[in-house]
Amino acid sequence: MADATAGPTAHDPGARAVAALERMAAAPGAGARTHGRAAPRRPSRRRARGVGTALRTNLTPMIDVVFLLLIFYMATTRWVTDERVIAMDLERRTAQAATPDGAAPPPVPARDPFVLDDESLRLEVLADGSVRAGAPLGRALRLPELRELLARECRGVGSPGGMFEPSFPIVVAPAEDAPWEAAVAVLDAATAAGYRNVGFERRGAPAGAAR
Amino acid sequence: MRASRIHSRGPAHVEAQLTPLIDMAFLLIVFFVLVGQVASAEFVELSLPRTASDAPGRPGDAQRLVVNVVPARDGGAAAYRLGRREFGPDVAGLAELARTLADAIRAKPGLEVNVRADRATAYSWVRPAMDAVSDALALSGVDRSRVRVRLVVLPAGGVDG
Repeated sequence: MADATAGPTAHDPGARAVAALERMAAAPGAGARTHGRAAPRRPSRRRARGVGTALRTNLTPMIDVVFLLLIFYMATTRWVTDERVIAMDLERRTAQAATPDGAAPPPVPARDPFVLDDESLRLEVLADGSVRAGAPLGRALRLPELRELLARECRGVGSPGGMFEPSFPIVVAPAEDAPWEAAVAVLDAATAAGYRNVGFERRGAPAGAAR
Repeated sequence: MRASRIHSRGPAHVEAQLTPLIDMAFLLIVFFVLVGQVASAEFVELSLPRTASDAPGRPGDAQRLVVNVVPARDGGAAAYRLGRREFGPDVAGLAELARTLADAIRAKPGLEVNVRADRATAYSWVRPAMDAVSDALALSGVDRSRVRVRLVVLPAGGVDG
């Protein structure tokens, strides 16, 4: 590079060094123009690789993967189903804890069917889904029968002659091997009929653990 | 290549701006991943009992704990699950479940505790879960009326999960 600017003394290394020093001392910025000729500019690195080459990232594979992931998550996400809840009254459940474990249901005393004390109606759910209703009904029922009976006997606007007030306590006592669906069906039958005081019977030791 | 009419020196470069598309796709992925994590913590795969009436209400917006009775093959329970923690279906596991529930209730009174169980699970395996909730309330010392307990069901005509 310096050959082009050094003139006749170009082949003398000492003279070249002196000339270079002079250029630096005189005008560092205009050193290339000391001889009135523009020196060729040092090519930039970018130019050396090719003028106008733009660096680009190829995004296509990434977009492919992103869309695959998106489809995967959309397909595998389990959307929340139309779940509903039945409210439980824990206070009453605990209040019934006094019932001794394994005790037989209270005997049905002969009584005037029109006189009801504040005793609860005990609905025992068997393994096959049928229901044995305690006093004062005292008979075995299939679930549709129970549903119809509970609705008919709930004293209210529709049935003023019903046997039970809506606040009458109903205790659902599923058998150990009764499926959960049968137990919930009886609970649902009572709440759907309009009874407000419905709960499961609470027992002592955990039966599942005892198995 | 034939030159474009507008730019006589060469073909016109038509490029789609993909950045917003990628942004949206990433946002959707993050959404699905997060939702999937929350859902898997609360919902164990099981067939909820189906009710014949529409009496059961919709779950509220209150903060809730979900106790899942993980079903086993023979109508039993393989475990009780609270969030991501699993408790064995024995006395020790149930006592631990009650203690964990009590801590949660003490920290946040006004919680809603949902109990989910499979429709074929025997009642003897679901009752311990409800008893554990009851015991947790007694342990926590929180006023019982402040904690609501719900049994999760599918309404008539509801779509199974």
